[in-house]
Amino acid sequence: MKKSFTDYLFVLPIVLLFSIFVVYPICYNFHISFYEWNGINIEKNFVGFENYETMFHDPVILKVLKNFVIFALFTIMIQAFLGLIFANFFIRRLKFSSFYRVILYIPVIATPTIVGNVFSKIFETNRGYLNLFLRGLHLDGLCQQWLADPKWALFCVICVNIWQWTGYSMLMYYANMLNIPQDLYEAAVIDGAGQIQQFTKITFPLLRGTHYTLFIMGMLGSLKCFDIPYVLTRGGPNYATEFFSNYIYRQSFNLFKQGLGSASVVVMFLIAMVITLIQLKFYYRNDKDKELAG
Amino acid sequence: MKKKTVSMGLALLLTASLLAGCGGKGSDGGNAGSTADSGAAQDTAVSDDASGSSDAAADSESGGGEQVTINFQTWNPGEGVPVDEVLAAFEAKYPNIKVNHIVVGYTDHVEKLKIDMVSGEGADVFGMQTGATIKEFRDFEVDLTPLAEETWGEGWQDQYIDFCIDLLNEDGKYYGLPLGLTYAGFTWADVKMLKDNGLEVPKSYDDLKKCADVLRANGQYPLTIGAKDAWINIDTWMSMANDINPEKLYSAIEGETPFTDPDLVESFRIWQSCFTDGIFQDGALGVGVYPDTTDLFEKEGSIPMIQNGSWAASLYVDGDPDHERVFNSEGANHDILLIDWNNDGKICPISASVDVCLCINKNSKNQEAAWKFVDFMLHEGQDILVGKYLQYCPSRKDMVLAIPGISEDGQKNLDYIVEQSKNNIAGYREMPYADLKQVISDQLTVLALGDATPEEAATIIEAASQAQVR
Repeated sequence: MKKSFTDYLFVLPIVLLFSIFVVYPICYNFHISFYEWNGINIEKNFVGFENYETMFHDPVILKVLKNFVIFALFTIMIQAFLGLIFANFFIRRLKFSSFYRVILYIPVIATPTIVGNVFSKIFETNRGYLNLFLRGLHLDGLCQQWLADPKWALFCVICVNIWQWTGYSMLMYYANMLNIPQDLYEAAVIDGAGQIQQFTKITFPLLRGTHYTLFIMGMLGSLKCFDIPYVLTRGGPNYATEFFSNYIYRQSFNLFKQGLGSASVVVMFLIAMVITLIQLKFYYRNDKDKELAG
Repeated sequence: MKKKTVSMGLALLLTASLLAGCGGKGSDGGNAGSTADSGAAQDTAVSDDASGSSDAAADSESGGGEQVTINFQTWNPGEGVPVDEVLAAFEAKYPNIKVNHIVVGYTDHVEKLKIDMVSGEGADVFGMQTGATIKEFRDFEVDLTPLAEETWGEGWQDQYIDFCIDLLNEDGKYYGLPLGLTYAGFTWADVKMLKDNGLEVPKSYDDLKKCADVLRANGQYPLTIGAKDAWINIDTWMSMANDINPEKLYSAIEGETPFTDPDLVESFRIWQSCFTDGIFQDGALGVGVYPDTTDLFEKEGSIPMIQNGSWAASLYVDGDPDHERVFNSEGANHDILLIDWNNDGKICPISASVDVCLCINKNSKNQEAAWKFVDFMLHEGQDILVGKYLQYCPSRKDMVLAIPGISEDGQKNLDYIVEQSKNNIAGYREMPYADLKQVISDQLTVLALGDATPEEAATIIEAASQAQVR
C-alpha cells in the first residue's frame, strides 16, 4: 500500500501539469461553449447548444471546412512527396548534401510572420516579384492578382506552407532512412533489385511510421493553421483562405463571441480526435499491438 | 532507500514549485506595476525618476510617501519621444507615481486586456476606441463622471469638443475620456507626382476616373487603397454614403432606415465601381494599409494617391528618417482632400472617432493615482502629444494647433483637417455594432470582387441589421 502511494507521488508533478495546462483548459472551453459570453463580462448567459447551432448555420464555417480539406490534402501530400525525394537524394551522400539539407531546413525555423511578409511582396499584383518575373519573360497572360483573387489566394497560402515545411518532412524521412538496416539493401542488390525496386520495396514500406506521423502532424497543423494566411490575406478575400483558427480568433476577439468561438474549438478538437483515431486504426491495423488502436 | 527519499523530495519540490508558479500575485496593493512584467508582446517604458517630495494624493493613497506604480496599457500613443516626454513631465509633477507604459498593437491590446481583466490583473489605465469595444469592457470600466465633476467642476464637458463628448456619453455617464480625435474619409495626394503626369488634384469621382486612366496609361498606380484591411474599406464606403446622405447612413446603422434605401444602394454602387472602373489599383484586396500602401506613399513616394485618415499628418513631425527623406522632404507638396464621390459638386463629409479614450480599471487598487494620470494626460499630456507632436487632433476646445517646426506643406494640410473637423463632420466613425460592421465589411469585399450587385449586398446587410441587437 505504502509502495503504491509512493509511486503515485512520482507521477504527481506531471499529472498536475497535464491537468492544469491541458485538461482544465479543454474542459473550461467545453463549458464556455454553452454560454453566450463576450469573454470579458462577469455575467455569462447559458444558451445550451445555441452556439453550435449558430456555427453550423454560418456559411463561413462551410468555407472553413472546405479550405481545411483542400489545404490539408495538398500540403501534406506535396510536402511528404518532396520531402521523400529530397531525403532520398541526401541519404546518398551527394556532394554538398549536408549544405543543401541545411538550406532546405532553414524555412522551418523562419518566423511565419516574416515569411508571410516576404511572400506578400512576392505575390503583390502590381510590383510583386512573381508578376515582374512573368512580365520579364513576356508571360503577361500568366500574371494574376494572386492574393486578391479568391481563386488564387488559397493556392498561394498552400505554396508558402509547402515552401516552409518541406524541410521538416525531408528531415523526418532522412532521420528514419538512417535507421533502415543496410543489410536489406545489400541483400536486395544480391537478388538483383534495382534502385527503384529498392526504394519501392524497402525504403518506402519501412518508412510507414514516418508517413503516418507526417500525416497526423500535417492534419493537426492544417487544423491549427493561422499565421501564414493571417499575414498574407487576413483569411480573405471573402473567406477564401479562412481556417479554423482565423474563424475562432474572429469570433472571440473581433466579434466578442467567446461562446461561439469555444464551440468552434470543440468542433475542431473533435475533428482532430476523429482524424487521429482513424489514422491510428489504419496504422495498427496489421500490428499485434491492438491495444493502441483501441 | 536514500535514493528513493531524494527522488521523493525532488518530486515534492517540483510539485510545490509548479503550484507556486500557478499562484496569483501577491496582495501588494501598492505596486500593481508588477503585472506589467507578464505577457509576451509588450514593450515597457518605465521612467526612472521616482524620487523627490511626496505628493499629497499619492501619499494618501499609498500611505506616507510610498511609491505607487500604475500600469498604462494602450496601442496609442506608442513608444517614442512624445510619450517619453509626457511620462517624464507627469513623474516630475507626481514624483510618487510611476507609470509603466505598456504598448501593444491594437488587436493584441484588446486581446491582452480581455484576458488580464478576467484574471483580475488588467492595467490601471487603458486606452480604448469608441464603438463596440468600449461597451464590451463596461464591467471593468470606472464611471469617471463623479471624478470629473469633483476635479473640474460642473459643466466639465464643455471643455471638450461636443462631438467627442457626445460619443462617450452613456446616459449621462462617461466611462472613457478623450485623449485625441481622428477623422476618416480623406484622400492624400502627391501634387508633384500628379503634375509630373500632367494631372491636377482630383475633386470628384469623374476626376478620379480621368486621373486613373492617365496614371494607368503611364504605368502608375491610380488611387491606392489597402483593401485587405476592413477598416479602410468601411471608412471609405462611409465617406461615400455620407456624401450622398449622412442622415440615412447613421439612421440605417441604428436600424431606423433600411440599407436597401436607394441612397445607400447608390453608395454600394459607387464603392463597387471604384473597383470595376479601375479607380482603385489592381489587386487592392491583397494589400493592407500598413505598411503595404503607406510605405509606397510615405517612404518611397512612388504612388500618387492613397486613402488614409487625418492621423497621417503626424508624419510631418514624427522625425522618421524615411518620412523626412520623402514625405516631409524639402519641396514636397501633398494635398489632403475629400472627394465628391457622387459628382454633385459637394465634397464628402468626414467621420470622426475618439481614437484613444482613457479608461480606469474598476479593479485597480490605485484608482486615485490612475485618475491623476488620466487628468494629466487629457491636459498637459495632450498639450505635448497633440500640441507638439500632432499624434491626434485635439479633443479639447481650448487647444489651438500650432505645431512647432511643421513644414509649410504640413501646415497647409493641417489647416484643411481643422477646417473640416469644425464644419464638415457627418457622424461617428466606429460603428457600435460589431456584427453589423462585420457583415458590411464582408459585403464590401463581395462587391469589390464583383460577386454581388449593390442591391443584393444591401439586402444581406439589411437582414443582418434587423438581426442586430441594439
